[in-house]
Amino acid sequence: MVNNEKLEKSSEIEQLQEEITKFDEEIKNKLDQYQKSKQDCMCFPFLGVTITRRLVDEIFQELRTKYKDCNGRLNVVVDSGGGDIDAAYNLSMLFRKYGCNELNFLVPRWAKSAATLLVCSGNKIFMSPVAELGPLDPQITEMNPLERRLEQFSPLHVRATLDIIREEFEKGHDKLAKELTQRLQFPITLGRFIKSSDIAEQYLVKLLETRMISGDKKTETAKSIAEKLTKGYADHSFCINIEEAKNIGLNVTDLEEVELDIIWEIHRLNRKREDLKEKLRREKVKEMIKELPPELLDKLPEPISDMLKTEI
Amino acid sequence: MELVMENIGLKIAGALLIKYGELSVRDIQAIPFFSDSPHIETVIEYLTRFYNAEIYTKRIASSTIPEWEQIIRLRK
Repeated sequence: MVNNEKLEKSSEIEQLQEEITKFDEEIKNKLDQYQKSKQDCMCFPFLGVTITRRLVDEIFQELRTKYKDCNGRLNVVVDSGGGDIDAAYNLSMLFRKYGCNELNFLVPRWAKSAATLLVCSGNKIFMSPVAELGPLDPQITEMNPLERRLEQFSPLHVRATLDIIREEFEKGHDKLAKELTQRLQFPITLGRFIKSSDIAEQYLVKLLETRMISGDKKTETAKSIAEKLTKGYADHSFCINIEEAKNIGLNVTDLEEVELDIIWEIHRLNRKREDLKEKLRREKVKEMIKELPPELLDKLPEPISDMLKTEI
Repeated sequence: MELVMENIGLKIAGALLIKYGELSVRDIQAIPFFSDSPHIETVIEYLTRFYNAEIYTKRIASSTIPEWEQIIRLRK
């Protein structure tokens, strides 16, 4: 009985793997089709990726082995929720090296946070009607030493908190203001958090004024876009759609007709593939959990899930 | 209730990390108790801090289109 179950499970896993391979091939065909429609301008799939420092090495390896004959023209299909801002800047400069004559980013659905910085490094951003860019206020995860809890927040929250305390002092509510001040982290730490949004702004200005934005007032325009993207939105998840991206001054074009059909199909196929991979992963993780020796679980300290509360 | 489930999830994630030495971020997301968890970034932060682990990125070799995943591994 147990053996039968194992056999069924392994054939289910094999079937899932076959389906994933089929989706891989279909995505590759669509990328080739897009490449042909663009006079063989090479197309790089940057799909479902979190931007990390180590990813820079990996992408460099991919570009130097497979994209060295791109003739200075490159299109990049992006689907990413973001990641490390310094790595995103480094990747931007790397993509520019390969797309030295023309670099375009195609966004079917998501290029949020640090991925927004990445797509700002090209000549143009092509967006579908449902594509989203996002604000660039960095997200910080820090241990609150007073409450022994991990907190996730933005430098904008620090500024807002300091404003609240200042207002309470001005209103004469000294006791409340002092209590709030005592619960804050060290001033140098707070200063470092606030400064982190300046880094994103500096990177954005550098990238925008050297490629996407041209003309006599390119630096002023780049600064105004960068300020809006780093400090102008109330929440990190704000949806910057194509209209909003145009309004703030980015060089954005609608993905239309055949181009939209192909790029949207790549996105759709990739999502289906991701769903299958998730199913496969769940099966794999279930098996891994079954293999855990019970004594190992007993030996581990009880984690304090309060640490996961992410509020400020 | 949600926090109780996440507590179990954290314990399992820690045990998997100790037994296998490394765990992909996507594997962590696939742990039943973290389904739809809004705290996944914080879970990863917890694992790296409390198990002295590090994060690295590696290419998934089996994929024909380039694909990478984040791995949490115990520091040696």
